[in-house]
Amino acid sequence: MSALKQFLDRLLLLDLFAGLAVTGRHLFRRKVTVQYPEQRLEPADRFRGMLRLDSERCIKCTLCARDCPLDIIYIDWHQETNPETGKKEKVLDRFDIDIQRCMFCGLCEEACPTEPKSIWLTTKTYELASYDRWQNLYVTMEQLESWRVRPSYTDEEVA
Amino acid sequence: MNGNAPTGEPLFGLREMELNFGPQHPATHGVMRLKLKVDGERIVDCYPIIGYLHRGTEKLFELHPFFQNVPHTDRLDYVAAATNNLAYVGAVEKLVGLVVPPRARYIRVILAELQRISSHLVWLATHAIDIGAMTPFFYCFRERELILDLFEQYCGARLTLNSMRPGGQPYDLPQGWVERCGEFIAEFPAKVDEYEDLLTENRIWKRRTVGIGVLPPETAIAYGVTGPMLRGSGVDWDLRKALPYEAYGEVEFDVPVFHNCDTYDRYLVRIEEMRQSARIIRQCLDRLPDGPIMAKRPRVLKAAAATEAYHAVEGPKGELGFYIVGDGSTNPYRCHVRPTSFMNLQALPEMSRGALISDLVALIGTVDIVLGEIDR
Amino acid sequence: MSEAPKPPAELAPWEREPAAPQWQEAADDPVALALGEALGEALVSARTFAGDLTLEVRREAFRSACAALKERHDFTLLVDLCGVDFPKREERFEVVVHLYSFSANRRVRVKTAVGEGGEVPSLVPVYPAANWPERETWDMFGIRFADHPDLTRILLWEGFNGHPLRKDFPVEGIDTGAAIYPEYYEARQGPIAGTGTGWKVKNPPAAAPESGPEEKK
Repeated sequence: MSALKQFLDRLLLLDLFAGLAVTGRHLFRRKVTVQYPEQRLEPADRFRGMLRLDSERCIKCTLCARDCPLDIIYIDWHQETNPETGKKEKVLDRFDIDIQRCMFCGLCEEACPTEPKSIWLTTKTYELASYDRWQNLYVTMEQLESWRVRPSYTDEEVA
Repeated sequence: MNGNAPTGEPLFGLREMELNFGPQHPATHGVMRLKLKVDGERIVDCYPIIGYLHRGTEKLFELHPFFQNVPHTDRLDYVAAATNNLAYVGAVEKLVGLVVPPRARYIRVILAELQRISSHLVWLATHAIDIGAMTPFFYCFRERELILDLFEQYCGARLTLNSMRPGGQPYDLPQGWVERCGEFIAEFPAKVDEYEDLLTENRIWKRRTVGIGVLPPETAIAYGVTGPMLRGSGVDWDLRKALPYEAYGEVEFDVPVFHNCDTYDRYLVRIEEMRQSARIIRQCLDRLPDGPIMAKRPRVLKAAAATEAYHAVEGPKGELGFYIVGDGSTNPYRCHVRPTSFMNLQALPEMSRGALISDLVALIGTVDIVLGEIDR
Repeated sequence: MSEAPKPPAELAPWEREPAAPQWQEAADDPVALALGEALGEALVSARTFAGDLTLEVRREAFRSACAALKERHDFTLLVDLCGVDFPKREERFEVVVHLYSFSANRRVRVKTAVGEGGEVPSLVPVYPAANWPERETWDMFGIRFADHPDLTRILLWEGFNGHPLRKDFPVEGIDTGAAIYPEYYEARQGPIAGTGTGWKVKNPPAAAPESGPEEKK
């Protein structure tokens, strides 16, 4: 009996039809494709996206620069006496990141001792493409603090 | 002299031709070059040339303290980042004497097994599509998306996870992660059945994989091959059972071993490993202990001078190990990666002599190489 | 473990300060004993660290030691072979090989010291798996292996001048003769630390290379 069954299997291509049945069932299932860019998925809360800085909270400890595995954070600060309070405080001159080489590992965020963090990656932004290459190589302090999510191409006029 | 076949004989017989299976080829799974000496369609010899993805990772490891090297390890076997992390932090912990709390150990096992499933899904997708079956590619990547979403919710990244630190875990599991992971595990075995429906009994698949790339167990051991390639050749050896690490000593699972030594058996090994990984994750989720996730460790982690440790884990492709030499400072003095695919690829010329060129594509797929690990 | 006074509650191992493992003499380990008998003086030392048996042998006896381990003690799997550079030592390189025995389920580490320009007997006749790791060690360190069937560079290209994993090789790389981005780099200079690439070397190399790159033919 099993020899006959095997012969029929082979003649009638039943093993191949079993595979086709799997594909056929998928024809009637809900598709899981997300039609980007009209539909977008929202990243998770912990998603490591573009970096953002808050220089008011920053205490200029430079732990983030020390912990960066690629040494791409450049920090300069100096001491100044605040005329109002008379206390000495640190002033941030420069907080630049060589974003071309950043691998968004999040070690700078982990190192930051302030609560909430002064540098963070949980900005849920991964769309960093631009039309001009030179925009994306090196990010200065002002840009880190104030970048806006670039509008998607469907919003603005395409040149 | 420049990378030719190592025998001293004249290079070409009258019928032979040198065919370059070049560095840019969709079937080599990365940038790898194979110099083939072919007689018609039969391969007479095969000489792999690697190094196109060499980035000097082992030199980079020496520049930074131990915990800062974890992102660099992600990029070795970039398809299985959690495994690289696990091997590296395990080696550091062995070097320094850190003991990891149980909750962190279980979380690491869950991440490593999810990563094993993800890596095997990529393997199955690319292997099948190289041989010509396009459908498993889409289905495997659909399941992989769910795993990558779980990783994203845990550590913020999908591929290069940076998810472990020497001493424990940097983050605890977020709210609802255990339930979501449980849902994925509950549905996953049915998906594996679907892949098997498509391929295992399929006569085309069997014609392309049965009897191809026979690697006898003695040859496999002689070439340092480990992982599913060794288990497909009948050697029952899995580091998770032989030298257990993290929480593997406390969970039950089987290790699939098949004895025909060919590509079809390696395929069966990996399919079954996916099911066993789901089983391990289920047990870990059920038994997840409470407690701290990071060991007590000094603020500045230093290794004592003239110390060295080797720690290996069973990655999806085989034994992945790190050999770290400490010199009394915060940085490793030497951190050498024992790359799984590097050793496995050495067996490719053995397997491919006498095979057809189209079989070579199946063989590259079955060795399951990732050039990031080979070239570092 | 430390001899500190016991805390009120019993601390778990991960709540205590990590206790670094120590080197221990392992002269009475059966494998070490057997190898000591076979090699005599060529076995320089046998120690254990964190549970791994480490045997140091003389360079000439390297292959025979590994062959003895393979044939008599069933260490049939070559796990890994690599080099380490200790520039301050007289014999600056160390070749480290890890072997594994299925029947005994243990790993052993065999080390040998070799100086610059010295040769280590290749393990390829004993373990075919040593082929590529030895090529990599030659490529990265410049350690020659005698009787290797094909000792050529594997990760870098033939014609590369230098051995990158040596301690005196700069992390930023060397000029390889390729003129890239001439508007940024002076002619034939290659990347320079601190200019535009963002690289800042924390531990600069101790000694500069003695000679510059040779002309590419």
